[in-house]
Amino acid sequence: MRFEGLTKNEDFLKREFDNRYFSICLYYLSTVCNEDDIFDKLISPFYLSSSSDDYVKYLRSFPNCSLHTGDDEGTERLLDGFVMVALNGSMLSVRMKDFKSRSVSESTEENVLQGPKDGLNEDIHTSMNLIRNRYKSESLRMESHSAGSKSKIKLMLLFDEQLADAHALSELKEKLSHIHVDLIQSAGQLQKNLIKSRFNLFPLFLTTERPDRVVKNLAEGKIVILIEGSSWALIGPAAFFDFFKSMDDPVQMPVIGQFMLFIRYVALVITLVLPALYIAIISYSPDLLKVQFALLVAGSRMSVPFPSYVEIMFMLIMTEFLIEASIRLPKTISPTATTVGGLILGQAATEAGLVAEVMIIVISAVAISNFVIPVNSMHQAIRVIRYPLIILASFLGTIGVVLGLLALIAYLCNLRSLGKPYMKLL
Amino acid sequence: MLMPLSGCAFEDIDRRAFVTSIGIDSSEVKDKKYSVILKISMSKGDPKVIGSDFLMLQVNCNSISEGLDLLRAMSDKKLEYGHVKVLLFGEEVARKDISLAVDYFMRRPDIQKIAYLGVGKPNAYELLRFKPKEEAVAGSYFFYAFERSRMQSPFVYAVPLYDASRRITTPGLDLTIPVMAYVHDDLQINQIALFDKKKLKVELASDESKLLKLLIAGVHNDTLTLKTKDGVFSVTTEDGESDYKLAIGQGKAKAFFSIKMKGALIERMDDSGVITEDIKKTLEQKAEEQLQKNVLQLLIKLKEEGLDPLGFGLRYRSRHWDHSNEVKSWSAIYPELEFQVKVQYKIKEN
Repeated sequence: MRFEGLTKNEDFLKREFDNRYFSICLYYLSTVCNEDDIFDKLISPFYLSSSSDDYVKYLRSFPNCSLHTGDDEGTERLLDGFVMVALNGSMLSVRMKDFKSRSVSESTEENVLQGPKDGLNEDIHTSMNLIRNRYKSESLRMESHSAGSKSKIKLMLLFDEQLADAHALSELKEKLSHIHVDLIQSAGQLQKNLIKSRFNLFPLFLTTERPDRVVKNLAEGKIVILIEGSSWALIGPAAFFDFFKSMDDPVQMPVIGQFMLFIRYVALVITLVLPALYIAIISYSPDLLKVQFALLVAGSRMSVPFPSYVEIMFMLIMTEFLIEASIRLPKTISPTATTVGGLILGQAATEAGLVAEVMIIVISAVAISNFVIPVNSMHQAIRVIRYPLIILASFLGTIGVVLGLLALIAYLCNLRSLGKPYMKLL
Repeated sequence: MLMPLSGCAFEDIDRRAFVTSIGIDSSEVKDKKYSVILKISMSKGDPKVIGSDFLMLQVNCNSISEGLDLLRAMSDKKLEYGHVKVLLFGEEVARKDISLAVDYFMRRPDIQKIAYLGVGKPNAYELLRFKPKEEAVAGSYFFYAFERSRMQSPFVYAVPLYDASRRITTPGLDLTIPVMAYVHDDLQINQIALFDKKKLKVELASDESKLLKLLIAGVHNDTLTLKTKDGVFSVTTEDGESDYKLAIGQGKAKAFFSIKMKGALIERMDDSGVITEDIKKTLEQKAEEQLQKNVLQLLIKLKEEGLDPLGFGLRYRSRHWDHSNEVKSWSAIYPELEFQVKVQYKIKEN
């Protein structure tokens, strides 16, 4: 019996056919193959051909057809959607793969106003099709790799041979070959395995589901990794400033694009520093405020029994809950939850005297500006970085904020993405 | 766990009392030198309510730091000096010595160097007690009055703390501080007090203050009353600036003043009639004569008092290399200094 490892499976089929002249035997996994294709392309021609030689010639015309002797290689092929055809004692494999996935759909996580709407696909071939059609250059290379020791997931390395940095490429290949995990299912997981350090906060690869972003980065000499079964691509080497670009920018008029970019950096500063600065100013150096405002803040804090850091931590954690909850909730409920949480909680908290009114403004400014950062993985990082700054601010005041920011910049400057400095300006 | 260990610098904003102005009077108690007054603005919760409640703390003491310490014991909150915008000296203190106080405030890190200085008449306490009908924050009335005076007032120019300190320590430049007078339940700021480094020497009349402001900072929108044979006119000066040159010759020193002014609106005060080009010409001439006479008078007055708010001495020092002797040689030159004033007055078409 052949393919013993697979025979116990319900979906493993062994079918024998006989016409007047010769007989064949097909082995395949019905779940990964297209049975209609098998019937049309393998079985019907079999009954029409009069000699085994003719049939072998016909099989040879399939693009992925190959001859096998060993069982091991055959098993791997079967799992990948090939049909094994046994005739006259030899074994030929023919690809009849059926990959069930969405058809090309809109990208949902990276929305743009103008510009193409389609997103990458779980099916690696569809994604490659989208990319090839946008980047028609003979120097575009597609290299196939695999990762994961238990489940071999196909990775596709895309780069422009003339533009891509050779060092970065060889470093990436080296890293890919050193991944020893059982299972890789998504771009994020792959990225985590490519970055060794456990405490790394910032994404060192750009993740995207937009083919136009992939193509733009290819043209800039970046390397793209497509992952079978994931609609997200990894792009490296990435710089910190890449994470603030939206695919809307090239569409806009230059001045408007620049303005949008500027707005995003302002939002970054606000979301990062404002909570810490609130504590530092309120509790250490109120002389930074205008005197009218200082008195107003003092007045609105009169009823608040807690020190400023307790107040801000309470509200920040509440907003984190709110964000987490609205991601996990079903789409039909989440608007209600946000309204209840955001509006009513904020209003009630000030009226109950738990937090000052100015605080609510600070918190909502922080929450809103966080979402201005276009790339998801970056705004997650920024969300976490706030808290060390808050702790520093509550111990050391404004100096703490400055120290924290200095440390952050030093840390960012120390990071490398595929050997390229992370804080590289473009 | 570590959170409560944030140290003594941590003090929430609602536990701080914001001092907006500091007044210094001479004490009525026998062996005390000063009476220090703090005006503390009360915080308010509702932004819709316009109003400025304040608290005044007063203490008699021998030094300002001692006074501020005593005041600290009088408040349940931390006294926050970061928002002190006005430092008022009572007239009596000003006539004795203010240089030590200015020096103290200058060196205190928490008092902003842009705080404005004023001489309070009759004393600082009366002025600080003054509560205007509308005020955003207690004490902001003074601050805005000074701030505005930089551009708007024809009478005085505001002197911030850093400038005062500079004027006290620099030889060849004398301190001037605006006088705030409390007259008939109202504030008037239209006089300049001249200091001889440490103490108040002369209070200029408001007319003289106007001219001094013209010479030092220039004026905007000032009115000049002129009598001619055609009648009495009132001319608004839109813009005026002055410049001078020092010429030190053999044994004789002379200061050449050149003043340029632009007049705009003319108001006829006795009867109505068309203002012709001829009248404009005569008005220009008259204005020039009148200004020249008055400026010359003021300069001579300053010279005779031995005061130098314009900084002739500094100008002299900046153009001579003899560092060790220049102060001495200037003090010999200044009493002999002669002035020549040239005024150009142009009335615009309108």
